[in-house]
Amino acid sequence: MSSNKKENTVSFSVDAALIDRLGRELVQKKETAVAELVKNAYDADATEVNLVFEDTDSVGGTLKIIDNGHGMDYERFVNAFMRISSLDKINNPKSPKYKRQKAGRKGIGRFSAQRLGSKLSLVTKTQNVEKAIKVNIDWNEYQGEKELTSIRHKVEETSIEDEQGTVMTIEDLREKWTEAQIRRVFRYISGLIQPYPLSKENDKDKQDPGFKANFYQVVDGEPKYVVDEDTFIFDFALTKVTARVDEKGQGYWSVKSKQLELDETDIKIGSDKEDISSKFEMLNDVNLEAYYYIYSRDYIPPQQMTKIKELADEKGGIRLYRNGFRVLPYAEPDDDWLRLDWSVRRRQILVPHGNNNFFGFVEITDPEAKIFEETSSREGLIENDAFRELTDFVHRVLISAVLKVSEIRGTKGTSSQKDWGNKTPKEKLDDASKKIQEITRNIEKGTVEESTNTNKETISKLKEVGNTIDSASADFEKELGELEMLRVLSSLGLIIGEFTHEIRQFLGALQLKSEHIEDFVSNIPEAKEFIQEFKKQFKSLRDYTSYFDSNIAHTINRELKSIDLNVVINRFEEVIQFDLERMNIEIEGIKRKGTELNSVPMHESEWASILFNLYSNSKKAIKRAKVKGKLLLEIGRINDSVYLDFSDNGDGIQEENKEKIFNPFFTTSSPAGLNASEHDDILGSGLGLKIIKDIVTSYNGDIKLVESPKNYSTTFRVSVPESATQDEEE
Amino acid sequence: MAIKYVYVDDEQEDRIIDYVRALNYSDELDVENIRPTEFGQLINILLEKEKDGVLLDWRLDQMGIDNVHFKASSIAQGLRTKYAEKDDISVPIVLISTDERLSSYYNDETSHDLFDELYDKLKDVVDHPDKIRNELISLANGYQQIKSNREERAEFFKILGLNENKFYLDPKTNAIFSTDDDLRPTSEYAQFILKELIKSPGPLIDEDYLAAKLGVDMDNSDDWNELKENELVKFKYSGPFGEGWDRWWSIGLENWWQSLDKEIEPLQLLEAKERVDLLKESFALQELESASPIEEKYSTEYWTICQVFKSPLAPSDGFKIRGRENFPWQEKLFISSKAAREKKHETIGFRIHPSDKERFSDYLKNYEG
Repeated sequence: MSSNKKENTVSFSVDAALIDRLGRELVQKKETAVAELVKNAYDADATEVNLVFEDTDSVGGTLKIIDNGHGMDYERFVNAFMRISSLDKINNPKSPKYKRQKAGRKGIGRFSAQRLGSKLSLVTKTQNVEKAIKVNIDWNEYQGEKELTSIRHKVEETSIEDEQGTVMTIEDLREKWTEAQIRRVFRYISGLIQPYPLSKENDKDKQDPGFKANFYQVVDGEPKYVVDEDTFIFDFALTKVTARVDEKGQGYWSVKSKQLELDETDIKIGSDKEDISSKFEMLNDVNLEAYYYIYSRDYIPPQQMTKIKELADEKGGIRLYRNGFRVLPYAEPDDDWLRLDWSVRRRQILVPHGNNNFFGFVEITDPEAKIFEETSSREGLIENDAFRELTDFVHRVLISAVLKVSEIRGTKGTSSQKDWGNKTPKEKLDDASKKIQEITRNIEKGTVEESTNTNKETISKLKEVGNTIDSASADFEKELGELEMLRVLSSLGLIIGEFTHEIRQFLGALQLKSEHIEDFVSNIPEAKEFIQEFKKQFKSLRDYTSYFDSNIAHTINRELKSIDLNVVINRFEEVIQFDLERMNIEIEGIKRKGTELNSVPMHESEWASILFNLYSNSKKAIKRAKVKGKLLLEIGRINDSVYLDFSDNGDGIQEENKEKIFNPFFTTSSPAGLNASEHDDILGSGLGLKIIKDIVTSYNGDIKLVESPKNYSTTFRVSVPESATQDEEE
Repeated sequence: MAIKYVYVDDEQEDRIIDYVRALNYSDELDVENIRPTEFGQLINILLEKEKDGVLLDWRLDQMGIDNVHFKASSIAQGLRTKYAEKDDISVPIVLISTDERLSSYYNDETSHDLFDELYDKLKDVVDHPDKIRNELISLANGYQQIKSNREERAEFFKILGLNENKFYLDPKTNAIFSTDDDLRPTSEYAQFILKELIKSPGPLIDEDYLAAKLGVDMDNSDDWNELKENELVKFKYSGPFGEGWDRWWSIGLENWWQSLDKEIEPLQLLEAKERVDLLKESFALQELESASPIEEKYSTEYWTICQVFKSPLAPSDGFKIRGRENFPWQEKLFISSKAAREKKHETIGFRIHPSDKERFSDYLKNYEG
């Protein structure tokens, strides 16, 4: 066909300069261009892509993008890569193997390459062919006044080691690349990647093992790791939690946090929450690694927060890998296999601990799939004992870690409040208010306008005010957390009150029924024995109900009055007698070293609450010590105070914990497992001693550990100022 | 014929059937359960039903039955008004409840005279059904006894089952129920007997007091029952409600003691062991133990009991507490000094009597652990 001959049909022709125009206009930022190429690798079902920036500190460097995706065969190369505006992406919105939703924009890849550098070398190979194909493109050839189709590239065959994949080498880069710019690319593609290990591939399932991107910079021939998803996302994790169950079934957990200066390793955790040495029956060789995020400006810069949070919403949670293969659906967006979201909703623990506060995975080794069996539909594992133990273990480790973090945060405060000493939020706000008034006065006087110096000063003052308010607000937030917990507990108290009241009706009826039955069956020895047992068990139930009953009856009095500690002890003795019996604990003695031990006017319920909290701590300590429980109480006066000593023979308090025990959320119990009752949960909340401290300090009293009498391991002394006279009740 | 009570409770039948069954357990008592209806209608039903007594649940308005917005006290008030017009239909009205705070309502002056007795469903009916049945029967019989004696204008001491021993009762007490004037309603007789005599120690004492005055440790004395049945029965109270509540005449006790031997010292002047030794000797009973004091240094010249520990006490080792003090012949109530200094009495709502306060504070000042 000759160009100077007129024909009766015509077509558009395309100038070669189009390529350059498309490249520059479609892909304006160089970071976007690289990101697009990474997305292409993702769309090609690659599990890994490596990006190597060579000599890119000045213009003219080289970028290599190496992926292990499905590559292209000759036909595909010609019809897709070399054909502009092909319908390939529209026709195939999902990737062929892992059914990934394609991420790359339509047909942008080659223009990205063009946008980045003047030369492209492409080597690509599919799994089923022997040789790779190789093409070199010099974009400089695409200059004006040439017909687009007239520029031709040689296709060669070449041998490569890899089974499949694509290597793009972009030479003569048009711009230089700084490390920050490379990192920015990573942010653009962070939606594709996952902070988890790659799962092994399982051909049968075509399950997506995940996608990784590694960025290297080669300077003077030395490759240097710039960024991978670990360094990117884990930099902002507040805490790293690891845990394992060893081959003997013993569990350990560790928690590490740079920001909180926290590093505790190999803390034991048992299958029984009160016994850290108890072994897990079904578990061995289990490993957990999790990163914990608190979405607060104290820990995550705002510009990363949204990104990480989005990623966590979609990909957060704790994944499960069995023998290296990921098991679905665990940690998929709607899955809550560790019942973390459930626990958040339940509001027993108020520190953040939902699935989206974690990126992590737990690995189990079970080569023969005998312990953890898959359901026949292959949608997860059968919920057998082993699986339940596993979820319990992971749940408790995570909650332990979260509570530990909360405890440390409680002591240290967040970075923004460090300089505030012991000022209360109110004092801080008062400070702020004063400063604002001062500034306002200055502005009114017109001094601000006079010089830029004053202006600067005003701005710095205002900043200071802002910080003060931030700090007070952080304090308030912390206090609201505690308040919330107390509110939860108090509403629970009301429910118990309702419940015990209601149950009284049934108790009587039931007891009477058992007696009627006893009459009927008096001739049948077996039945008689049976009904005797029933009556005995029933009695315990009733005793226990009356324990709650009398407790509540004494708690409703709201007036402030001076109370003789003798009365406090009597009430306590009366109320707990059934529980003591049930728990097999004995009050070995009550030493009353004085009469008329009248406290300053207090709420009667506050004393009840002090004693219950001490008592429930003792119960736990006794349970852990596995001894026959003994309590010793002493009341008396010392200087201008009256005191109550509460001793138990439990497992004692370790030296290093003595400072911490009054912090909110400090607890030595590991958190209750998934099967634990509400009751267990509250006992373990770690608020007990903090509550006592709050009560007694509000009356200028004190609670501290004192030396224990012989045969006792822990003694708390609660003291409050003495009142001159006991209030007379008329 | 069985004693019949009508029992009004707003609870669903299945929630109270067992209580009714327990009360109906013996043939002697028949309890019929009805649910409350509109006030006037309910009063009429209660008046028309043939019965010997009425049992009322305290809260009748809990289940939201139409037109039932009243408590037991209103019904009791309504019935009492009718009985005042026509005394011969008067029957005991008993309050029954699951509410732990029942006694505080009961002590409320307005409902005080409305009920003859109050029971807790759980602590009384469930735990001591025999005792409660017995008391209900006794309440009904006591009312009949009073009614028939009252109609004959019998003297009060006679109503109480006294004849030649009428000096057991203070003459002034007898005069309260004078037969010269208009007769007081049966319920006033009943409540005076129950509240001022039976439930307050004085002319009548219960078994704890009886044993304390005799210096006997009941729980460790196998022959105590024998002594009671053969000897102490001679001055046992046999008037209205005596079948439900075992009581003894205290003057009867002193007389009986003096009758053992002309030379015998009054009980009050003897130590517990001396009292018990004399009992053993007089009746050839070996299995009688004298009661140990609450604290070692206490006197054993017991004359009262500690209201906290329910153990024998010499008044000199205790402090008076506030109690019913309607009549001078009622005994003062005491608590031991141990209970007082450990404040055990406050836990159960007792207060030291004003006249003993100074003595108590002196005691505390001088007390050394």
